[in-house]
Amino acid sequence: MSNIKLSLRRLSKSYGNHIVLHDVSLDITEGSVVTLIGPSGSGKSTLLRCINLLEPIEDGEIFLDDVDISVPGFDANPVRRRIGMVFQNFNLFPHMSVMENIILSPTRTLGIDKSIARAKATELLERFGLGDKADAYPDQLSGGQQQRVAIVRALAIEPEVLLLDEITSSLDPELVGEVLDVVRELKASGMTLILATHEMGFARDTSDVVCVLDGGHIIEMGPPSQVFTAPQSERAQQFLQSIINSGRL
Amino acid sequence: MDTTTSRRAVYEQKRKRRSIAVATVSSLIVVTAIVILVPKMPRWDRVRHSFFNGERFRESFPNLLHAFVLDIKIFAWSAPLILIFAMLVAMARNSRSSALFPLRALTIAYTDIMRGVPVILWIYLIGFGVPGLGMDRPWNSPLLWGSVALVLTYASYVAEVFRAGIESVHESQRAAARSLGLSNWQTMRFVVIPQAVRRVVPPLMNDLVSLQKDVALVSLIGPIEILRQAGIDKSKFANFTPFIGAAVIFLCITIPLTRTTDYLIERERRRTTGTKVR
Repeated sequence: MSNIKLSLRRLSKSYGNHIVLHDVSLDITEGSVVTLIGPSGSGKSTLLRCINLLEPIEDGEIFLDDVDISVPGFDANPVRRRIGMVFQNFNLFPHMSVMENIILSPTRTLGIDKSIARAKATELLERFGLGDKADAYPDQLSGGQQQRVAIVRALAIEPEVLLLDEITSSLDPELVGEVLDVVRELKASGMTLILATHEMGFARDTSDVVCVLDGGHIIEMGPPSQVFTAPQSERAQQFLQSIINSGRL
Repeated sequence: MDTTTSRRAVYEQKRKRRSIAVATVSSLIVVTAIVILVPKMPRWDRVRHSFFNGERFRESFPNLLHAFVLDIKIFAWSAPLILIFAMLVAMARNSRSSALFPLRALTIAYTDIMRGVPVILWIYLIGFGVPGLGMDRPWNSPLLWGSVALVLTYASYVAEVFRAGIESVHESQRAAARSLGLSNWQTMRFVVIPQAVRRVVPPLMNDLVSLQKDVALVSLIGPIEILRQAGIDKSKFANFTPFIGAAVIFLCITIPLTRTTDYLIERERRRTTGTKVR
């Protein structure tokens, strides 16, 4: 049996009376790619933020390598160094150069020597075709380049799991490809990935598991071949039909 | 001349020449009017003698300049203290830990009270009041306590400027920093505060310009700085020219400072908004 890296058990969360996540359970195998799809406001981003402990959950547990990291009061900082996150709007630090963005956490939280951190960052930048951008500032880069830098920044702390929150949603259509290529490469390198996305074709071709969320529930879950061709629930069928009708699959 | 000049360029050039001509003529008219009309004002000779007396100006100017050194000293030691203290207050007010609730409440009370009362009242209260408690030298110096009053009042204004800057940094920046494993304090130190300070430089400069002027309020509790020196010279000569001298010295400092501030605001505006509409 393959190794379960991350296990979500009956997660629930609400903002006031509005339920954002309801009884969400999910096992993520090491080295697999899990894709969260669903209409806007279905809870995809909130789920990722909860896994990263950026938002507290109200009920349920999150196990990372069989340790419950959702215990109230659990020290979140070491956990976040093991679970990286990339955001829809890149969230690069605009006052720092690309290099400074990348080495901030390795040097400050892991205590890695600056020259070593720089060498590693340079290696990562070159791997993703950004070798000449180390001294540039975020505002001087295109959206696609900024998002690739954000991925490199997340990778620089050598996380075991990477959360990608709609990382192509604010990119111009012609820039989406270069970012998705990076995700494919990460998958090939064996990184455990959880991504929320609206790129249905990409979800179908790259995922090991696809989860359809609606109103905070997982309404459909399985390999893409099953979810995209023979969804079981009526609501999932409607959702997929609307995607097919709009020509996005 | 370039024969391929566009229709637009010809029009722009014509317009530019015309507006330069209009501006020159109107400026000339205004200047001539001032030069001719002002001396015709009733009692102009008295005004000139009392306020713009060249001889008195020359006599008093070195004294004023000498006294102004004290103003600069007060400014020089107050300004860094204000910036440091204000940043601490702003950070305490923005803290999210529940253990720091009393500190948060205290900083709110502090900024409300200091900003709600005239500066001059604090200078009297602290600058006269505390030395009056009968402490030994050097702790009974009005200069010391006057500076303390300035620091406390100005820090409350500057703290609000810093707070606005800290709050203007988008929450997503914090989220990104925390997701990289940075602690709350590291997030403030490396991500939030550097961006906050850059954004508030223009309003900060405004506060420093008014501090430079308000240093003169310390004269009211004793130290002989420029305003007091001007008052002494005024009484000696029975002439108001020393005050004009003091004003000139202040302007030499504050005008370049305000122009720099304007330049910084304009630069920030250009960076964050589009091109100007005509």
